[in-house]
Amino acid sequence: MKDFNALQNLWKEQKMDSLPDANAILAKAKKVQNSINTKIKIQIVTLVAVVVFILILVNVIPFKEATTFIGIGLMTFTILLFSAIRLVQVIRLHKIDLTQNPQQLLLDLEAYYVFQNSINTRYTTIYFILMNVAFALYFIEVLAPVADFYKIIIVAVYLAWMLFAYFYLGKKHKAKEQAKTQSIIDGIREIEQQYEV
Amino acid sequence: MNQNQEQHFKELYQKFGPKVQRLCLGYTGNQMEAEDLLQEVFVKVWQNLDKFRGDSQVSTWIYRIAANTCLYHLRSAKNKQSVDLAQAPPLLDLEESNKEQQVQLLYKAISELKESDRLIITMLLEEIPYLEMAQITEISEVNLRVKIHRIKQQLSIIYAKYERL
Repeated sequence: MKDFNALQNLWKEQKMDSLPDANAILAKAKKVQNSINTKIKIQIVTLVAVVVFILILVNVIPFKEATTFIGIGLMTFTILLFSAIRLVQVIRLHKIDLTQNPQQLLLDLEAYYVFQNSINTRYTTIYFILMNVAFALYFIEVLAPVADFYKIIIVAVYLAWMLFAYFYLGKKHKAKEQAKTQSIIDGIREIEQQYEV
Repeated sequence: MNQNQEQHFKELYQKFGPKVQRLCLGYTGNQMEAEDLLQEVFVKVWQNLDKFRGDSQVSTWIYRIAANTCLYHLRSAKNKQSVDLAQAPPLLDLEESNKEQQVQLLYKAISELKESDRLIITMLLEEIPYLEMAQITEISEVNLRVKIHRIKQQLSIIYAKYERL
C-alpha cells in the first residue's frame, strides 16, 4: 500500500494538457456576460410586447361583454406574472456568488432549486388554471355568434387538448423536471452534510 | 474592463491556471469536464475581478471560486464520478506507461471520495497550505486537520484496492 507521500509524488509527476488560450477564456467570459444580458432583455421585451399586443387587440376588436375584458385582463396578468417569475429566476441564478464561502453557496443553490421546483409544480398549475379560466371567459363572447354544433366541436377540441396537455404531457414533463431538480437538491444537501464535521 | 485588467487576468491565468486545472480534474476525474470547469472558473474570475478587494490572498480567492464552481457544477450534471481512463495520452515507454496508469488509478481513487473530500484532498496534493485551505473551505483548521487525516487514510486504502486489481 502506498502512503500518502508516495501518492503526492505521483500527483506532482503527472503530465498535464496545456492550458487553453487565455484570450479564448477572455472572449468566452465576455460572451457569457452578453448572453445573460440578452436573456434578461428578451424577457423584458417579451413582457412589453405582450402588453402592447393585448392593448392593440382590445382597441382593434370591438368587444362588448365584460367577461371578454376580464378574460383578456386575466390572460395579460397571468402571462406577465409568469414572465416576471421566469425573469426573477434568471436574475437569481445570475446573482449566485461563487466568491462566497462554500457553505453559503450551497444554501443559495438549494434555495434556488427549491424555488425552481415550486415553479415546475405549484406555479405551473396556477398558470394553467388561470389561463383556462381566462380563455373560458374570452370564449363566451367570441363563440356567441357561432352555431351550436361548431361551438360544441370547438369547445370539445379545446378541452381535449387541454386535458391531454395537462394530464399527459404536463404530468410527464413535470415528473421529469421534478426528479431532476430533486436529485440536484439531494446532491446539494448531501454535500452540506459533508461540510458538517 | 481595460487593457491593464486584461493583462492582470492573463497573468493570474498563467500563474494559477495549472493548479486550478488539476483541482478540477481531481474533482471530476474527467478531462473534458475538467477543462469546461477550468474555463468556467476563469470566466467567474474575470467577472468578479473588479470586486476583489484584497481581503485575502488572490490565490485563496481563486481557489475558492474553483472549489465553488466544482460544487456549482452539480446544477448541470449530478456528479458522474467518471474517470476517463481511455483518454489517457499515448505512451512512449514502459516506465512512462506504468506511471501514467498509476496516475489514472489515483484519479479513480479520488473520484470515489465524497465531493467535499475530493476538493480537500486535491488541494492537499497541490500543497496548498492548511491555513489557506481552511480559508477557502471555511472549515476551522482543527476540523480540517481531522478531516484530512481521515481522507488520506481513505484514499490510500482505495488506491491500494485498485492497485491490487
